[in-house]
Amino acid sequence: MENIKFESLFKKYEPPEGGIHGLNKKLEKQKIKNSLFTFPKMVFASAFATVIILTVLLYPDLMRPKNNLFIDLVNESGNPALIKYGYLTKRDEGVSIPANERSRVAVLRVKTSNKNVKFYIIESISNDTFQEKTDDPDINNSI
Amino acid sequence: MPDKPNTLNRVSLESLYAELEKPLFNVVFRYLWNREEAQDLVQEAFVRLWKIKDRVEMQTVKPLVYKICVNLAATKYRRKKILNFFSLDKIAQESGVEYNDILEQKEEIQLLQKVIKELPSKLKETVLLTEFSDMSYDEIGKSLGIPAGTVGSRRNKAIGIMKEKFNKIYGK
Repeated sequence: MENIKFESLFKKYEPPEGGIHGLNKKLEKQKIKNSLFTFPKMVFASAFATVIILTVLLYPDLMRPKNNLFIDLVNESGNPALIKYGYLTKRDEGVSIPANERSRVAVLRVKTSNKNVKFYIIESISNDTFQEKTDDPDINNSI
Repeated sequence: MPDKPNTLNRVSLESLYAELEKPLFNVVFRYLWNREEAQDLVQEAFVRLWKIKDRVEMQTVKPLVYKICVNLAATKYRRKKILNFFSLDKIAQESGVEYNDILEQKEEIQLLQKVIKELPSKLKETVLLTEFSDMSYDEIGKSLGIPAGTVGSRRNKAIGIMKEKFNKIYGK
């Protein structure tokens, strides 16, 4: 330690061997990496990602069950607000079902926190006989 | 398509690496104190240079490589400092010097680290470039974005601080 001079602080050390091979390897790796991210591939990947995102976003709407018989029935009943099955009606009016359909349609009133909002689930029970399963007098009144 | 004259191609990149590997390694080693990491970083600088090869002019390529290297080394040094600060085995990592050289070199490196460690970053990068690169003050100035005169004054200031520290360690 005593022999060390100030000038030795700037002594040049030899780098480890094989530097140029290491560089070439890194450059090759970079070349492969670049070829993976070419413009057409990026366009294809972004289009694919867009389709996936849209599918995820639209999935609940696309998978909503559509009961055409029910829709026809509601159309006939004159309450178009209920055409979209499962949607809440904001109209303050009862649900009317034609008399000849009553034995094939089940109506269930869903309790809501706002008493001014009335929400009914109406389902076709074709080939079955309608059976009242609730004591709620509102349901009977509304039929 | 043949390369335009005066632009960087694979052959010129390799010859530039062969020419600058040692001085660049010595600059970066004074930041990282690890031979493998220093070599890796020099190679990384050349990969980055290759990425921007179309915009590189051969007349100014040397200051540019030094600039890339110093920037990468400074960033890595800061990261290492932060990691060491939060590390549980701080004591083990604190020295960070890889002693796979002969004993004499180990002592030299320890001393070197003590003297250089607390040098302000602006003085450190300047003195390392003046001592290890074969660039003129003008070129170093271009590389660091400062006038050539400032390179000289920073270098003198850094040498003064280092000498003071060196003498303190030796008790002179």
